[in-house]
Amino acid sequence: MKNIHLFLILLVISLSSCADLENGFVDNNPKPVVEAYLSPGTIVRMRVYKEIPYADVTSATTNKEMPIENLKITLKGPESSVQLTYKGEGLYQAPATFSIGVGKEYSMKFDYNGMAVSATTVIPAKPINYKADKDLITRQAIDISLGGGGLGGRPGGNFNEQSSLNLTWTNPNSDYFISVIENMESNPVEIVKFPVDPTRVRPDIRFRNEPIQGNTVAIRPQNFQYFGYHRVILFKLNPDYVALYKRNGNTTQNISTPPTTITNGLGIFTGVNSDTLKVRVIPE
Amino acid sequence: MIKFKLCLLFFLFVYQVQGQVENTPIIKDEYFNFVNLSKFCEKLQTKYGIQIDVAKDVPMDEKISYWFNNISAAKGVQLALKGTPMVSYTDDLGVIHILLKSAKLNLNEFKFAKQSTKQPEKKNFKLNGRILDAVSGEPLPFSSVQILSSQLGAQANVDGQFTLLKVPSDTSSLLVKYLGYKTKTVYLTPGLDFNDFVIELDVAFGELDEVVVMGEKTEVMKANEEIGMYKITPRNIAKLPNVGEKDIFRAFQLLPGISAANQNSSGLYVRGGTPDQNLVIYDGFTVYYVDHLYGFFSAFNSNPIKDVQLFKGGFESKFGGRISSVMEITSKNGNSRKLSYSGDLSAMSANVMAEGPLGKKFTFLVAGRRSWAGPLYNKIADALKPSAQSNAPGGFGGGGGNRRFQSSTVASSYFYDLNAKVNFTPNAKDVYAFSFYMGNDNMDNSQNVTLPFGNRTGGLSNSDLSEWGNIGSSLKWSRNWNTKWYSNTLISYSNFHSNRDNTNQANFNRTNGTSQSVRFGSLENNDLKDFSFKSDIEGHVLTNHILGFGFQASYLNITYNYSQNDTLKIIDKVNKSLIVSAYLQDKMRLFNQKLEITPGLRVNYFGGTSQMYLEPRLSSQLYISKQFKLKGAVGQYVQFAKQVEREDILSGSRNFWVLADGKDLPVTTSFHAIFGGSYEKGDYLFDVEAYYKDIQNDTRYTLRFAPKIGAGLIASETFFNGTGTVHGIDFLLQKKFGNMTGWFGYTIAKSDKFIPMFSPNPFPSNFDVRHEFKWVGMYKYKRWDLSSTFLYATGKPYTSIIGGYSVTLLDGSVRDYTEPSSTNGNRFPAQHRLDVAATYNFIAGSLTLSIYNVYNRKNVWYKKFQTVVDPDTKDRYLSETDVNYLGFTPNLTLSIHF
Repeated sequence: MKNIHLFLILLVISLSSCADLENGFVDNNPKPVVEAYLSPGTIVRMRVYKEIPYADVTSATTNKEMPIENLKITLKGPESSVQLTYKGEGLYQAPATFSIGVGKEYSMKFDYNGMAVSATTVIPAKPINYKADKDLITRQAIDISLGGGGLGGRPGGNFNEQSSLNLTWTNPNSDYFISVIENMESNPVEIVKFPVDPTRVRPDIRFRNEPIQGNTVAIRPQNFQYFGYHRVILFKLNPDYVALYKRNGNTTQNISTPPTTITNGLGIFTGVNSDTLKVRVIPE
Repeated sequence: MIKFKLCLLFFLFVYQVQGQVENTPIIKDEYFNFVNLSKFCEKLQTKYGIQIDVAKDVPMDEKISYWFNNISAAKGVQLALKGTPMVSYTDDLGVIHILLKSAKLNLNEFKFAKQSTKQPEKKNFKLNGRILDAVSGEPLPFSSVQILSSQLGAQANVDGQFTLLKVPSDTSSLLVKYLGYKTKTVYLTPGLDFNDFVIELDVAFGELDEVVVMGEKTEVMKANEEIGMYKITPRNIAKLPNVGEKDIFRAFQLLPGISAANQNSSGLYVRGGTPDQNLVIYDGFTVYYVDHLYGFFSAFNSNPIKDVQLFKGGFESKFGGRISSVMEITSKNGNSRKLSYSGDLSAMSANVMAEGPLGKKFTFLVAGRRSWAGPLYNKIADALKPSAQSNAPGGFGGGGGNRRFQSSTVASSYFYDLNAKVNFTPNAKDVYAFSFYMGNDNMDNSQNVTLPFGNRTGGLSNSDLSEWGNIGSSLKWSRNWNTKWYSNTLISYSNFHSNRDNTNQANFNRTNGTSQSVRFGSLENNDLKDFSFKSDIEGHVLTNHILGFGFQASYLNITYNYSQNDTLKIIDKVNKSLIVSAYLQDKMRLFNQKLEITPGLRVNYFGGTSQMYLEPRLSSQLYISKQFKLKGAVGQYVQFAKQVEREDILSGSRNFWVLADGKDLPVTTSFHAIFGGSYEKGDYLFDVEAYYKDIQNDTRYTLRFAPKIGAGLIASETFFNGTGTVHGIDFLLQKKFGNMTGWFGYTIAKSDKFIPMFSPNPFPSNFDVRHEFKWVGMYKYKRWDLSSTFLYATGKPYTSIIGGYSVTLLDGSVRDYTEPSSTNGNRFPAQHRLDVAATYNFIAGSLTLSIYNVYNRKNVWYKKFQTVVDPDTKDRYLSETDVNYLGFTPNLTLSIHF
């Protein structure tokens, strides 16, 4: 019976309050976004910028990614604690003397808009037994700069499994790895020669796979876009980096909280470790 | 064309007359030489006692010359009228009707068409009968029959059978009604078979204009028979505008209380409920997934369907297992008179149906439909399919600069369904029916990465295969034990399956030396099996009481698993449970039939929690006057199997079924209270119902709070429970009869959810639409059916973002992220849309031109946020894009039957 009374009351309320349009978010101050990869042997660099507020996407002044300048960022390692120096455009840097050690814990901290922003990470070990089964890859140079109509005759290169560049490493604990291949030449020559077109965007000099928990990956020759020397980097990752690859959703149908380990902030502060091999791509 | 009509008419006459001649006496020798029709009739009446009924406009001075030579009166009159502008027809009672050839007539009108002149022989007797379609012999389920003098009535069961308990005399008159058919008055006459009294009704409009009397009363949609109930016959929805398929579910969306605000969904959002809270029963078995093409169309081909009833709430104890509403679909048995074929061809699909008798006691029906990759299919599929980037960075080749070398192809995407039924009627008491349904969607959005040069086969493939569908069947036995008891027993099987494979494949060697093929991406699998037995028994034991009771046992087996990158099994649930239910209800008519009240109780045992659940329910209707009635219902409803909506994927099969476990997934319950009234005058009906629904243990699934980065997800961290309330009022003003029919529907409603994890305060539910206004108009002009529908709805709530940002990954590529704002804290702009259709009917079918969204209104479906880089300044901006529902879309449908 109670429910019926409630029903009648609610009915009256619904009739008298039918024009209520809920107003959505409260536009608080944009959160800081941190981007830092800590790796042994490299100087710690950290980029800090503001989340682009949704308040008004049409406003050219506020709707823009803005660096956060002149923060007092403390980076703490197991032995020492340093303050990062501001280098402009949101970039902060640790002194070269501050070293990053494997298996050690590092944390950062700064205050922004009255909030303490912090994050902690542990540096993973260097990949073990990282090997490639070859250091030379041949690709047939393809010239379509003169029209490209007469192609398709002789297949160039062998694209079977055997000719793939096979990378292996040891991974007894099913840790996460990612490989990134990067051309090292100062003026890299494209494998496919295209007609001259100033508007054409050249292929990226890097490519990668998704983080995996395995111990091998096969890279097919056709993934290479340039001749010359390439760095074949294998990164060992922490799970918080892997989480970045999870879909976060960018529509009102699927928005979810973005993955981050940063307290009162967004982005990534993670340790990585890597080993690098070299491979050369030459014309057939 | 006219000749053709006449031929057809003649054929019908011959057919009918041949069947009826036995009723009239043989005239040995009688000669008429150029006599007036009046004299001709008079002589036959006085000398041979033949009843002749001459239509008003027949010229009585028309001259007749004919020699009756050892011929039945019926056949003789028929031959005598040859060469005149008249024709004759003899009915079951031996009455010969004479009318003008040009007159539009309804052959069936003549059956039981005259008040009996005989003295009654029986009084206060029971009458058992069946109501059938006059052309196909198809039983008309849930049709109604009423004794004119006493206003007492009965509703036929699913097999078209009915029992009238207390017919005053065998000369009484009955009024027989069925939606989409012409209402008929039947005059009883002594000596008829009142144990299997067959009444045939004619289709109100459509195929055979020749046999339709203009101005007859019929409704397109029936409301107000019972509380919260709507009924639409699939026959009528063909006249409504459509967007590729005549869709039953979309037709119901035109009614108040059923939201049409999600324009890309045919789902039934009934009074703030979600589609999974709506029980869909097809020939007795539960169908768990009721859509095609990402939900754009319902899974049911409307051609083999005979009757659809929707209960918006407050439904009776017979139905259980859902907390919001019930849709009961009955398929056709198949034509019992002749083999017939029909088919439709539209810009979306082709479908064919065959039905007919198999001997004297069996009928069959088989119907198949398949979409074809026409422009309309592609348009809708493109709009709805998961975004192409859903699995980017797809392995080597996905990121990086070689993207231009990819050529992506959509291999194949289609849906199909098959309906089949065999009906066996060994005698007047028993009906056996085997019904089978299967429907499937296959979506292949795979991309093949190939090189554009030569005939190389190198490259990687990225699969994105979705496949989902249902298979169900039932074996039903219904029996009319005697005039008091009727039972309906069935065993059924229903399966819903959904598989999504969104992966890239690569070979992989483990440290132990074994090699394995590993997939990156996600694999999702949901499978539900339902084995059920149920028996419903109806007893007319006491006058003014219809007792109903029954038993149902269902064994449900649901598995759901979701894995990522082969190694991370995010969710792996297997639930099995037995659900046993029993119910008892009594439909009573009290106070001189003024008050109809139905108390009922449903008791459930759910194996998942080893607990009993009680569902007391009560509904009533108070007839204040012939025109005005008040109605009300309250009841408790429980749901054990629930569909959980995932919000982490854009499209595809976004929902999965799980079984309550009493812990992370508690049993959902709801309480309904409905109060309303209706006023019916002349051709108009005004109906209003106010409702309140309180939902407990509503479950939402989200990865929004993905708590442990990198760790597997567990149910308690992804399923969140809360409560919901819905209250609103549905208004309906319907013009039921005439050449112009239609309705205005208006709903004012508020639907809130309270899930503490989502928000500390109650927030509007995803389906909270404050005002929804609908208009449906249908106009019949000669051979044309014109129709139009208009929808206006307040914008739906959505979760927006506080802001966006991007992170540069280790390889230098950049990924966008967004941060959600308060749950459903924003609203899209109001949406509105006008659809129109014109149907031209011809003898063997019809041609329909339908236009969806005539004025191409851009109604927002969702918003998309991305960061974009200004190529000059390299500044990064947040951009917002509105993704809209379907715009202007025409469609042409050709329907043929023979």
